[in-house]
Amino acid sequence: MGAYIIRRILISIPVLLGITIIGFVALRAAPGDPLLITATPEVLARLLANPQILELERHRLGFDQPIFPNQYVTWLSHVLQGDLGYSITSKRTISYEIGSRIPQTLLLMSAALSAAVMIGIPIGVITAVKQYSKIDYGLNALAIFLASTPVFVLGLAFIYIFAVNLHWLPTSSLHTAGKSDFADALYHLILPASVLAIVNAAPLVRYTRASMLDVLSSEYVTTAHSKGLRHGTVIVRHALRNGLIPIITLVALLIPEAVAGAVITEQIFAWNGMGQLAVNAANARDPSLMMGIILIVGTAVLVANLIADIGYAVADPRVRFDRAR
Amino acid sequence: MTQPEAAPPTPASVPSVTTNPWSGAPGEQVVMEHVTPLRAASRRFLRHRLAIVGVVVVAIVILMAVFAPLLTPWEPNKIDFITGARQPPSPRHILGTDVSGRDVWSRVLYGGRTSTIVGFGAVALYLTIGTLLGLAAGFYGRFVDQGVMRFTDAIMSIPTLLLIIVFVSVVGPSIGSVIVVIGLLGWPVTCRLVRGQLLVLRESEFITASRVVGVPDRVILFRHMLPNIFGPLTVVATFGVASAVLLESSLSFLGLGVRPPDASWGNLITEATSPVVLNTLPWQWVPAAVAITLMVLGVNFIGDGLRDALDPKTIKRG
Repeated sequence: MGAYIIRRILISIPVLLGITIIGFVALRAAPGDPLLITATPEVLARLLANPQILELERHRLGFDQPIFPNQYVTWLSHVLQGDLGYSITSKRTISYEIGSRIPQTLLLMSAALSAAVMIGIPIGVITAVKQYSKIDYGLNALAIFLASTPVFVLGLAFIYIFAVNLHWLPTSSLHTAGKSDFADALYHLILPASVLAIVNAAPLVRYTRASMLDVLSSEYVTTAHSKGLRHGTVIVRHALRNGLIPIITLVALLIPEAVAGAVITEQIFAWNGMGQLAVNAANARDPSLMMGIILIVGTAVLVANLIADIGYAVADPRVRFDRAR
Repeated sequence: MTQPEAAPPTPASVPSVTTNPWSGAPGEQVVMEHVTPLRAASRRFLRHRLAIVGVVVVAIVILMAVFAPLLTPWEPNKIDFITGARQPPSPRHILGTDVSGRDVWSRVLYGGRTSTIVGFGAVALYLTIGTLLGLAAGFYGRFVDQGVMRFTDAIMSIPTLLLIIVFVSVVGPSIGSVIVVIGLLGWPVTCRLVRGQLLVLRESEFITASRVVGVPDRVILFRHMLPNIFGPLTVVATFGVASAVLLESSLSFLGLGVRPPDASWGNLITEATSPVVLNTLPWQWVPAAVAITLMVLGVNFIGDGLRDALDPKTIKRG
């Protein structure tokens, strides 16, 4: 089991490096002068004042060297020392930009995903157990409907109904002006987290239903029924444990997907998180910021995949023992 | 499964009823209907009421997009401050005007064109790439398989929207870049599906027989194996269209896809983030929102129907 985990980690590292290499080459190769784009504010001011040292500066910072591997290795060595560079749009260090936004994104995503799992899986199980009943058709139709509505439409509709017309909840951002206590943050969290939760719960319902349907038609379920076990016991103690195995991977893989959904949700609710940062970076064509985001998101995705693999190995012994050979 | 030797029976050449000499009393002729797999699948599809609704809705949307110039007298991108910006719906402008005086109804129609083109174009692109790579991986095995699968894993593990954002920040937003980027990021699923099906089919007897007889590899791949994959492939393609439309509208909403003045359902909704538009000018964004939802819903219903019709695993067991 330990060997399995270590092997997975060792495979993830080259994948992460590969992702950063592709991103780095793509961004550095884009049109535009990388020196002017990535220089620190003081250096930039000096350069613009004395144009003749532009070439010297270019050589000193290594921009006349080939992008890969030389420039990439330089960037990587800076990153390993903790220096991610400066954002040209905000003139602050990228570590500051990202660091100030991660907590908010994490708050939103953890709230949304836990709600999605707690709603989606039980509903999926119910629709599977009561297949072809009215409940099944109704909930399935609802799930399909919610999966077809774009995130931003759902978000805007929610704002329209709950914030504007009913005045129950605030429309945007983490805090009302002036307050900074946690209760206020939670109050602001409800609407964006609900939107994100619903959007992620819908596919979860459908996949749980499909997986449970698969399990419910197995022979051991029939055996359990013929043994005389009550229907509820059969579902909970036998079918559920096997049916949920693929769902574990799915939930772990929902984490990177939720990052994407969070991008749009954050835009609508003016939630100051990583998603907003990414969109601003794309609109402003800020390559250093983009690289920082790629690094962080790439790491998060690989960690999520790792958790998915470990979860799968824990839940399904076949995976563990098969690989050990 | 289609047997490679038999010519596909056309409806005209084969009578729809055949006699079965094996059932019934001796001497009695029992008349049976000759059911091809395609006919059986169509029947299962047509039993799915939601799927038929989906077909109708999507057909309407596509027809309206195609015949857009006939359905509205207004140019979708024409700014008109004389008539007035932000006019509510009136007999002259069926759905009112937006902030620059452009007619909302024609922008919704032409936005339908954008979404349809992106949806089908991106899916066509990644179906081609995914199928070719999947066939290569499944058929040639070993190193080709491993290489393609690692590549697929790498791309699948990155959240789509983020990768698209990075790509667009390099290339610049436009309808072409949206089609290309969705296409380049969507092929892993198709590739895996094709490879998985191929791994199963490789062991079939009729494939072994074809090999023994000496049929060249290329013919086996395209004439024998590929037609058996069409079923799940169609289902994946249909759901792919739905998610491509959603992706395109999300990107345009964020300003990273089709940009104004060109119309797209997504960028019609961008302005709704301001409370003024959200509350007092609903005619600007609600039609586009409804349009996206209907189109995606319809395509999803069709996909569900196709999956129940074509994928044997989800047919209810007795």
